[in-house]
Amino acid sequence: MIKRIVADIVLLLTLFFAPWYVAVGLGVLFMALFPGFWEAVLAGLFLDAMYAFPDAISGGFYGAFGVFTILFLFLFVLAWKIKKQIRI
Amino acid sequence: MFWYNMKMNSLRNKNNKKTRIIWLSASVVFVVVLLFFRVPVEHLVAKTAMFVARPFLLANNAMIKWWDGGVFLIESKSSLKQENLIFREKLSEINTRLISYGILQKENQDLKEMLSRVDEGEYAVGAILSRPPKSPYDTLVVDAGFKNGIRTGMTVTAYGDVLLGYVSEVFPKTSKIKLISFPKEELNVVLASSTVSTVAVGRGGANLEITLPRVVEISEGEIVTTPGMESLLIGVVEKVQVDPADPFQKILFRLPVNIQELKYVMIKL
Repeated sequence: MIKRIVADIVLLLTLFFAPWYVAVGLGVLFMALFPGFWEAVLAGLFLDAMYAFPDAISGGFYGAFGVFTILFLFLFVLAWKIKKQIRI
Repeated sequence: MFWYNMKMNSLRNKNNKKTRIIWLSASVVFVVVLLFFRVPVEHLVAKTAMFVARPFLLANNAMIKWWDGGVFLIESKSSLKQENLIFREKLSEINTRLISYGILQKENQDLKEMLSRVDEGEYAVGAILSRPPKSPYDTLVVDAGFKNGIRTGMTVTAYGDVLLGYVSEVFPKTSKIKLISFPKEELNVVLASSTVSTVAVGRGGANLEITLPRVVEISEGEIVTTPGMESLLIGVVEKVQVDPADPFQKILFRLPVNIQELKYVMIKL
């Protein structure tokens, strides 16, 4: 429980103080380490809220709101499925 | 015992079904809200995130300032001496250029007055709270918002002369700025020496490109500005890519300021 709280604090601090790829990497790592780490999805939502644009260019997903949220949601479901299969 | 287990299983299945229905209904409502109220929801979420993040980003800036001030204590005397000499040289070069810049500026002002076009631009100054690579896109978050008179679409410059981008989203005390180098972002530009008017396209990472027919002669070092009387500097041509098989040439340039070292931006009100 304490480990998870520490992980949450570390993830939160990297969102504010570190480059975005550090936060994404840590989010993925914590999803692998902790069961049902939904905080990573919140971190993705935070990244989208802070840096995405409501009028992202028509050239695709770059800059669009929801990219990180959907990515983390997908990874969350994937991690859950894999863990269920290998019974962690 | 057997009938008891059967009853408990049946109750558990009913609860599971109920939970699934609730989750499904919640998902449908969420998707409908997102489809029809996407922009207000996004703005509300972004506003909340900015409100939470602002104190941390300000603390981060203060920490960086403190660290930069203290680093000289651990540098060797000789390296500081060397650095000092280099800076003195650069300063004297810049001072010399400033003299001719002052003359040109006066001349420009006189010409504008003759044509009855006086620059009455007012600027709001915003400290940069977040920049690449902290942000994943070509975005800046600055410490100036609605309360400072900032509105969507305003021009953002460095030192009032270099175009950086435009205000994309405004919150009470912060704003999001989309840099002109944002991928596929288009901007009308003029190549100063050849007075060619064209469109520059962002490539990300403070880089931009222009595509022109090969017959147009462009050289490295040419200045790229915005069109009009009050033109802003956009960049200096760094590379011209010519392929004999291609009738077009690619002109590559980047923003002339280092976003990593820029502390403030000036937003034209």
